[in-house]
Amino acid sequence: MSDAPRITGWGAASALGVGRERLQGALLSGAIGIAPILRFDTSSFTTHVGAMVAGYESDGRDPTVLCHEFGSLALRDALAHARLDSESLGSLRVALTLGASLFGDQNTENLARSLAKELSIEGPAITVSTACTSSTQAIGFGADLIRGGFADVVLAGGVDVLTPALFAGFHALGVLSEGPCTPFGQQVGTTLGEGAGFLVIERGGLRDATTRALLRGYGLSGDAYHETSPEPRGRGVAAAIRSALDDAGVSETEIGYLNAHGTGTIANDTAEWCAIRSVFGSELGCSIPLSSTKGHLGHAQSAAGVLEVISTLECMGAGLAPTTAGFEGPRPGGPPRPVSAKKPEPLAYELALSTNSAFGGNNCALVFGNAARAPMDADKSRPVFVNTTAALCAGASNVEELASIYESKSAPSDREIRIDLAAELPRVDLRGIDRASELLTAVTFRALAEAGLQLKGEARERTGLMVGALRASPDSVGRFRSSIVERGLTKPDATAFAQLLPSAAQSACAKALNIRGPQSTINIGEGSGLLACAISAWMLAQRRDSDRIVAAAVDVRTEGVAGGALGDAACALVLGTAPTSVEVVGIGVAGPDHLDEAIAQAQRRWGSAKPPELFVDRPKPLEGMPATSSSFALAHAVHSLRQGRARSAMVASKGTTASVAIILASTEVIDDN
Amino acid sequence: MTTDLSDYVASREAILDHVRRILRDTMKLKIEPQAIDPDAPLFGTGLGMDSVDAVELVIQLDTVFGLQLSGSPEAFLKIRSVNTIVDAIMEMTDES
Repeated sequence: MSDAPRITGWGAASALGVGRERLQGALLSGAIGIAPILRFDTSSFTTHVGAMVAGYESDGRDPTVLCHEFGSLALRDALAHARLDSESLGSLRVALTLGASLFGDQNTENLARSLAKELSIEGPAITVSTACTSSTQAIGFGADLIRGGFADVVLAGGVDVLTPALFAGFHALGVLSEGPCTPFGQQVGTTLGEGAGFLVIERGGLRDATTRALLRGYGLSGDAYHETSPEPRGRGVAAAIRSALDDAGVSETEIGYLNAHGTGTIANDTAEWCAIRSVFGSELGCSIPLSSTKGHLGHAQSAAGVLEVISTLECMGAGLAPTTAGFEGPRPGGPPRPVSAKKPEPLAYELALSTNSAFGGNNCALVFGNAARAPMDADKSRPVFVNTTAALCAGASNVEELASIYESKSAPSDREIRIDLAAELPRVDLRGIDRASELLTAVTFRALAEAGLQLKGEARERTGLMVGALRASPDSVGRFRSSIVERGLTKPDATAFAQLLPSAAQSACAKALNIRGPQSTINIGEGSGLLACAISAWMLAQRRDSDRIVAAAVDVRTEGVAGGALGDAACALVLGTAPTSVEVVGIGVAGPDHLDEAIAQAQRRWGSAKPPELFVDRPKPLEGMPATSSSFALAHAVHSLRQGRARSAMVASKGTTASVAIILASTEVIDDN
Repeated sequence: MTTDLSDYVASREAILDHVRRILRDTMKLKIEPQAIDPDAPLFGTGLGMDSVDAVELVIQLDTVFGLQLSGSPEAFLKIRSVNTIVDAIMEMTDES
């Protein structure tokens, strides 16, 4: 099959300057981008430092405007580095994978849409919203778009902006350091930052371009532990690292440098060090050169992962190891000797590992390295099947009732759905669960229960959760907002703050049901749930780190907001490698205006000369549930195949920022006589 | 019982009742406030509070009683159980 995705350029806007050359110069001279915050008043807080994008320290424009500007600057910088002009962009199939969480009350796909429009990117634009692992995961999914032939070029990265509300939330949680953070060092706590970074990833043989590095593999996992704290022994981080090494086809002994998440907090740094020692062993763990770049750049949230990869690539190219700024001596429970020279020192290495972890226990690790090593990926595809499905919306609490909505073609009169999760999950601590989490947990629990799956022992690690969701649950957003109005910026509702993420539902569901395998929260607006199914099917077919993935979607009614859902809904399909009566035979992903291409891709992968017998549309009566409605269509297609109404079926969705098509086929041998 | 002592008991009972209600609301417990054992540890295996619950509790204790708890380990000892919180509030009221 194809060889490893090539990294041909990158671009950045960070606290160390706008443009990769400024970042490189600053890193090599040991500069620190952390300074007193000028953008907003910090006098009522106990700490006053941050790492704002250089030149934007006092820029008080709307955060979404700043996000777009940082993203645009970094994208243009990356395209220039990869020598891609607008003409060549137009002739290639170019995709965007964007890590962005926008803590709060907006749909994350809007940023991807505006950036894609500005740069005339015609391919799929996929937003990954898992807080501090957003851009790391976006790079992983970008690699898959190349490996799967869904795109020729992927611009993969992330963007975030430091707002007063974000600062207040982290301040309330008590995780900010007084001065500039010193990861693994004696000062405890992190420093928030912001910025944007993008890699240009492309397939080999595409054009005459300099391959600067190869993206070898990635790994995802979930802690299923807590809303804000990592699992203390670093179990999830270790699983993500092992999965990335396996994806890259390398052993831990081949890794020459490790760029740690290293936020500076006790909880993160201690758990991460446990994870590193559990993967590398105590001896190698203590000797492998490792550092955290956050002492230079602060914690740039959704952009952290990509900025750390870029920092590593800059140093790797110069034969240097990135250093841990500010480190003056180890703390108990941390690595004894992180790389901590004042300026980066010479180090020859061919492969690097970079890890990030996020609120809710999302973990992601990447393996990338020198162009000299170019192994061929063996085709190791295996078949993927639909095990069970579950649907939840007004008028339907299972797929049979969903089928009757399809048949009656009328909307249920009652738009409210009621769930008694405490009765279904009596042993799970559901205190403070928000609406999105409640819906997603209920539908996932039902799908797994129908499959007869109890997540115990190894099954927890071998089960994944891929969720399509457009925004944070509106009830949590409302609680956070009113706490700030009523009690002031220094006393926000910390529980609501931790849930201000599109991935909060995924994390809460994973925690309640003990799902620790690969997981993420993605968004393409309309059709997000269908993309979650396509990604799950792709991962199960190509990777070996899970046996089943719950592909789910959730919408919560959001009143009076553009792009908000008209009602509550959730859907889950358990996909797995164990054979069932319905197989996922074809998937296609293309740009929002290229539904035909997505369908053609799915048809080509299926390999059938005839089109599918059945086309299942979104249920008309349930429109206005952007993430979920296309998942309902897929669940209904599965139901129809099982009822024997057809032997093959397709669901295709022209989404807001990407089109997706999935073909299912019945595996039952039917006697035509 | 002397008047002083009965006053003391009454005001302690009132604070105890108030703190239990705050705890019930902060932690979104689905039990009556009276069912919270005043000596049960709030964290870990006791009532199962975590670091995020603690943030909200500290904010509530400041907002309602004016009890300021810094991030020091001694401050943390004051919120080990309902009774230690009530003691801290009583002590603060006595001093003022």
